[in-house]
Amino acid sequence: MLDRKKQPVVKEIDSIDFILPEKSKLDNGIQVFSIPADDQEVSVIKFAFSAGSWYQPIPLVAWFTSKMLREGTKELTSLQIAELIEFYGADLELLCQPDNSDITLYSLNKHLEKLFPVVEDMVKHPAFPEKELSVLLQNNKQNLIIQREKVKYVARETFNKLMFGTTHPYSNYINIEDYENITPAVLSTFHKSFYTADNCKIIVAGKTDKTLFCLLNKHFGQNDWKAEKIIVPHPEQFKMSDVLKHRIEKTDAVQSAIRIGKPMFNPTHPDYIGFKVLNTIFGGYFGSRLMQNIREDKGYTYGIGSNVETYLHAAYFYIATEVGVNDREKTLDEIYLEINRLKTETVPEDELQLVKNYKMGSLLRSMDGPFAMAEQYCFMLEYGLDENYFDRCVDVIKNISADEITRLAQKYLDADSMIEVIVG
Amino acid sequence: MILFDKFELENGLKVIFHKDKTTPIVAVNILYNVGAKDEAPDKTGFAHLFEHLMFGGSKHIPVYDEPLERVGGENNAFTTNDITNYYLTLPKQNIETAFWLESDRMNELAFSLKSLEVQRKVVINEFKQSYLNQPYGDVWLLLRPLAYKVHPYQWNTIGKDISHIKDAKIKDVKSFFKQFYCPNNAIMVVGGNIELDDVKNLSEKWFGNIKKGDFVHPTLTPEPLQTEHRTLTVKRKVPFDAIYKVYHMCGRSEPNFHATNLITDVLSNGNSSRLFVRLVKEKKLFSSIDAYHFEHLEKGLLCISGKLVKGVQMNEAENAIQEEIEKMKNETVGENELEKVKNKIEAENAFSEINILHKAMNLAYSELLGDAALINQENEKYRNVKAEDIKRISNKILKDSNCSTLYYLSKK
Repeated sequence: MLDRKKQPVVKEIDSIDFILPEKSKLDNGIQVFSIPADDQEVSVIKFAFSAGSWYQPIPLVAWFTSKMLREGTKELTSLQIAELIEFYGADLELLCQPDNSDITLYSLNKHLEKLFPVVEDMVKHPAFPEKELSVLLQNNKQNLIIQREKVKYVARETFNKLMFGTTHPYSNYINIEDYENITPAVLSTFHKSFYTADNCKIIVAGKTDKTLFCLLNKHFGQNDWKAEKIIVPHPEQFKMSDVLKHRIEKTDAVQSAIRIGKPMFNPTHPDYIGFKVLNTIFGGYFGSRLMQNIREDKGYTYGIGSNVETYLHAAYFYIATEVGVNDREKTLDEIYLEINRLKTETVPEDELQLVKNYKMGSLLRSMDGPFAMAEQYCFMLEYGLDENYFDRCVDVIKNISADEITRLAQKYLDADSMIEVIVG
Repeated sequence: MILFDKFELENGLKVIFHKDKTTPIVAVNILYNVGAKDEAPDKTGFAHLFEHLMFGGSKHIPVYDEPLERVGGENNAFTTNDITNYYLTLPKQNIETAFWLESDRMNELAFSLKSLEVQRKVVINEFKQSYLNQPYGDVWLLLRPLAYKVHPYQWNTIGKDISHIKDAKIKDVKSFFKQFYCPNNAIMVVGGNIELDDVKNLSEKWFGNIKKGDFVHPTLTPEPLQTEHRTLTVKRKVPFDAIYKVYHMCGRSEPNFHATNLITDVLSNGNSSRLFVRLVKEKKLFSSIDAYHFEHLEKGLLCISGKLVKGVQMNEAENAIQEEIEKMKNETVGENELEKVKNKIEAENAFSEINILHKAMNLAYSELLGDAALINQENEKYRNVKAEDIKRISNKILKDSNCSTLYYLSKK
């Protein structure tokens, strides 16, 4: 007789296969990390440069340098570049982040060889044409103005300002006047300093055979794009604002965005993995304390969550949500209630086990296949984590105790020291 | 090439199995053939509200998410005008939990009043967050009823009005479930490193005793042919003017669909596309512009929309769009340009085969279109599109008498 009440046997995830990439070096010393994907017809090739906003002399430089790489080289116009890449159905993603700036090629394997020359040209000889730059500046400015109409965006902007101050690169705060300072010369200097062979790592998933290695070596492995060492002045340690609570009213808003948080640590810290487990319990999955209380029980929001945002030189913990304007205060009360619960009550064993299983499942999904694994490896590379990192993750997840969760909560979830931003 | 097996239970549930030896994850996708278009005009937003309620506990299982999380699984769902699609992934050793969960809620929901109360609030929050509290958020609340006067595509999945969600009663919700949530109105796809026999046995074990539903899909009144240009002008607190033009197009299963999709690609897919190059880069009339379509099962909409650069007059912007439309109608797309858009589709299809969940979703949708095997015919269909087809269809649909235009102006 079928017993629909009883869940089928729950089997644990014993282990996760994490394939380490093959390592090689181009002639000029660039490290290449490759994970084969023999069954697939596509490849993903990422050129990672330490050229994010951390390194920029003034705001917006890193981002615009990255985006302008496709806007023209000495040989090719913006349109020619686009036509060449798009003719082969490929996608060239330019992503500038706080620490890294990545150039990622997504392509069918059969077309890779034809794409390398144009990618090489873009990386080594961008021209930063004035005409294209002015269009990009104007449209980006316009987009920023639109984004600032969104309560969620303003909350994040304000929060970053309070966390880092307005001049620190991680705050990424943009004044409209900053656009005036972006010229081809400024971008070109940044490019020459940071888009260089000694600043580059290559991560590949897909058709990682000798042919590909030869192509990489031919186009990126020579000595024509090294640079002098640039001394980057380190920004001061960021000073968090003394004013922790900040309210911005937006007339006609029917929803308010809430953002609460404080400085935290990045994956290099010994408590990071344990804290991430705590974060999952608190606000990191659908069954979390925050979601179950504020959405599923009270219905105040469509979604609420927490996470740790990490960079090489800083990190912060945050809680974010959008709620009806009339439910703001009640939501805040519940958030602080949940923080307090984690500090004063031991997490029940059943719940802890559920979160452990959930996180193992998450980890399994994030390692599913060569492309996913390559992404995880990029993360490890970025923070200089050793190759046992994911084994350690599994170990902590499986073995962390409820007492340890309480200890982490008491040590790191100090509600009084948190920034609190409400917009709308 | 995605290989699969297909079988059907006695109660009409279609099951598709795709074996993938390369992943430790199993994906299960259940597509119910019910969407916003199946709602009564005075009770809209139900299919979507219902999607939320599906997580509020079934007859034997008080909470859906928790047991799934316990086995390391994850899930989500979405509702469109045509379908409601539930999907989950979990480690393959725990596949039976998926069958247990999905079969119980297909069979009967718990229908608790508390669940309805909470999800009502959640959906109202979603309505506000997505449609009312964002700049340009209410565009589709305005544009759909402009384009569709009769057909149920005239309302969005979130609902025509918040009041419909506020007034939803438990009895309405129960009858909606009874009408649409039955095995013979569902397609289940299972993908992963397991065996066909496992899937057959689990399907029979958990879904076998669910009763067939005896409903018939409501026949929807087709939208009468539009005969003249419709316009609507609104002023909102947004920083820049925007324009939205929608044109009636064919349904997903019609022969013209693939060529119509390529029209939008020629117009705006990528930085070498026509609208981007001419209207954003060269003429600097738009800060962003896009051509896309709603892939509706029944006759859908092709859309061209963009945000004007500050200071640009609306008629200049609209004329520029019109100029590009005339080119699509009067000139034949060149060989290179046609090859380009086809190559893009080929690459997109190849990338979509990396992920087991994407494959499962695409198989379910293909089966809904008539045959899961269609999934492997897409590239060929696109390759067969001729430049003349694109020109012919441009002439057929990109005309004023088939167009509804929303002028979304900045309130200064």
